[in-house]
Amino acid sequence: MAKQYNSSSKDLKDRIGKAQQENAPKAARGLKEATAYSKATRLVAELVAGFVLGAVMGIGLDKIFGTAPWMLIIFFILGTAAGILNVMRASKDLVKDLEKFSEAYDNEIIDDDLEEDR
Amino acid sequence: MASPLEQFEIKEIFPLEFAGYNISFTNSSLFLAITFVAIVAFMTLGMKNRAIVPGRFQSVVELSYEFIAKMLGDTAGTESRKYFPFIFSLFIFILFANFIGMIPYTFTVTSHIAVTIAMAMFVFLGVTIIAFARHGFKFLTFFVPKGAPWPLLLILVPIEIISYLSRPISLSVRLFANMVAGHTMLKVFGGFVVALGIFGFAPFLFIVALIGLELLVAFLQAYVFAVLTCMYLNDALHMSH
Repeated sequence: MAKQYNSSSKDLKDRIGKAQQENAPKAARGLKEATAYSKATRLVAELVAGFVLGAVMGIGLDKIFGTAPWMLIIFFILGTAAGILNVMRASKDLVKDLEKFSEAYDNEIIDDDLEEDR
Repeated sequence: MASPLEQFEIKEIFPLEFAGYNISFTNSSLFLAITFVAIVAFMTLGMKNRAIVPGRFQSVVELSYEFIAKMLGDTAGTESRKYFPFIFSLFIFILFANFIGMIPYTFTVTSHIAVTIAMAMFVFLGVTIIAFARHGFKFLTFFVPKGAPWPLLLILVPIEIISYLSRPISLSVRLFANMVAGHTMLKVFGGFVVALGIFGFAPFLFIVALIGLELLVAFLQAYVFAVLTCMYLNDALHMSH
């Protein structure tokens, strides 16, 4: 009995979620896409900054010590790794944000559920 | 036809030279000054009445204050309160510079990497000084990943240091690249409107949409700059990645 109730409540939750998505204001959707764009530029900038800094440090150290091209090779590899590390950290933050958002969204739906039961 | 990059050219208005340096008053300086005056006007005129129940103008000022105050508290904790004036100034300055740049015939100061990297380096140096002042030399353990075997540290520590040093670059390049790309795109499609004659309405409609997007980008990039500054501040205060 309890199981049946659960499944029907889940079904209702899905339907409410779908209806809410369909009726969500267009502006909010546009804003979400725009923040997606800002997230994309953020990740790209993190990646490129690592490459650029690695290359610049390598070339600079080569000029100082006259060891061309070894410092460039070493520091470009390190810079690439740093860039990828930065992207991983940034995307971890983004996932955290997303989870927080979807959690709040779920809670909202459950609240609506309870209200309808009453 | 004018090059789409011509809008970013620096032109001297009053040529000046001091101790061998060119310190002319340029169109960039002019718009930096306009941005500053606009912010002061926005803040003082908005708060002129100091009503308990704010009017429209006062609400805008109060909302922008609360927006940044909440963002700072969420990302960097309550200890970061004393850095609020700086973060707020940074956000409002970039926001106004970006928005003023969206007005036709103006100059976008944030489209020059010299301006953005100056702000980013200021943030970077400030955050590093705060970190050392707070944690002393213990801050250096920030660059040592926990639980890594020592032979790997020979590679991981340089990577962490480069990752830390790349922060001002990514911060400044992001803002500058977004502004340059957006304004260049507007200019290119503006050229299409003229070149296509009667069929110019198609790129014209596109420009209308693009301007909407650019206004959003102008706001978002100011916001992203402020959020990342808060995150770096959080790292400095609490030493957590």
